[in-house]
Amino acid sequence: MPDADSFDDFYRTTRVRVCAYVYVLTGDFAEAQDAAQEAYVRAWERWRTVGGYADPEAWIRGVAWRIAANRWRKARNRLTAHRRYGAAPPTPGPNEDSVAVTGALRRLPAPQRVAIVLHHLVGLPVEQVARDTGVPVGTVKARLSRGRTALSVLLGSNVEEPDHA
Amino acid sequence: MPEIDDFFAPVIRDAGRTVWDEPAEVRRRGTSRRTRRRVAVAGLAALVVVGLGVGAAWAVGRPPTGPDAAVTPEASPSGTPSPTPSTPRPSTTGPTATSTSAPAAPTAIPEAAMLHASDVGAGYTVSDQQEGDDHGSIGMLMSYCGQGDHTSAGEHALTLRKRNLSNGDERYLLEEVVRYEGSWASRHLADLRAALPRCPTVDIMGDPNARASLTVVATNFTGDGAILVKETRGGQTQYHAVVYRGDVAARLRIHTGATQTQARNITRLASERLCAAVPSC
Repeated sequence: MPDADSFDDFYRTTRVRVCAYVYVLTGDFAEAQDAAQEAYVRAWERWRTVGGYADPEAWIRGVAWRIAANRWRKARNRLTAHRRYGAAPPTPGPNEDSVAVTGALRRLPAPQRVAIVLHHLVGLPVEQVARDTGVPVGTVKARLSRGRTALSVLLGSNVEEPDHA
Repeated sequence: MPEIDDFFAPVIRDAGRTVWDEPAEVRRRGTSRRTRRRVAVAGLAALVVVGLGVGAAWAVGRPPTGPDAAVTPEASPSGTPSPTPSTPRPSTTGPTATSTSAPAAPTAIPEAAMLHASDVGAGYTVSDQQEGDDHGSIGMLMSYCGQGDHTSAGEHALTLRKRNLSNGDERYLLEEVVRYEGSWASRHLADLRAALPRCPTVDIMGDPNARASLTVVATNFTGDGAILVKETRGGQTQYHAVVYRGDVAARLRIHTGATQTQARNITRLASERLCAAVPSC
């Protein structure tokens, strides 16, 4: 199984970022983990292709996000979806700081939330965020600025404005 | 004073403490699912062949042969995911497909099959560095609408090539060209067409304040099949197009300020470019 090692390494090194990405966008830790886990299963199904991509993590992120987003409209299936793979090992819940950050993000308008997460958590440049979200660069910068200001208020802490955005 | 990135540190720590399935378990599930799908496909193919055999036998007045005579189900050694094939897969519909003298079908997407900057307009430049999630794609909009699993065509994609054509920061066109197994390029379009009526409006990320309206404005105007969808959000308009020829499909997100007529023309050009990847054009 020649691809197993590369997949295992990829899985171990990227799963935290992918889970965090979905978590902060959805605010649902269990959902995020479930979606991320499912995305990696799908990746292995076609690893000979996905593993050859220049940025397979972007593929995983997209799939995980689609899975989570799709479930927003399928809330009635959510409980069963969480149990899809049977009894999972106990997972520690998010800590207070994490809940506070995610809660604050959830209070931002969706466009600001996406811009903040893609830029500051995932690390995409502003231009890439603009293309991914279908808005001008200036709009992304404005969303980032407003989002940071709002987060400062919500979290009771001043946030240093980075130079690049 | 903390940097904004510091705020995400506890989230990262939480995700890091999560109890994850072992890699071998993830692979086992992926392999099992793929194997089940192959068994289902082989079973369906066998039924088709049996049906053909019965039909032929009826026609010539002799008993049908068993499916083994004509079917060569795709094997999956040790259950691993199959690689992108470099040669045609054995057909399950007749003995001619098992011939080894047939020329290899192309799987790669050549550069010539992608839109050129001049196809979109003056001032556009080409980049193939687009690896992002494209939160604005028609597929993503279907997910926001609860229709993200409207098609399983993605599971049958063989090759994918992306292109980003941009003019400054605000005008761009994202193109994805995909080669599919069998007739999945056609199926992909049909599935999207069936899902769109269920999504006349889409709340981006579930936010009713970020609502997009989707309208199908043209169908089957180029290629072997095509659709053009107008998205209106907050007074802005962009177009989504899907067109296919043979086993290759192009998905476009046209965020160039194009009119509907211009969007149609760009889709037509994309369709013509696809011929570089489809020998039967």
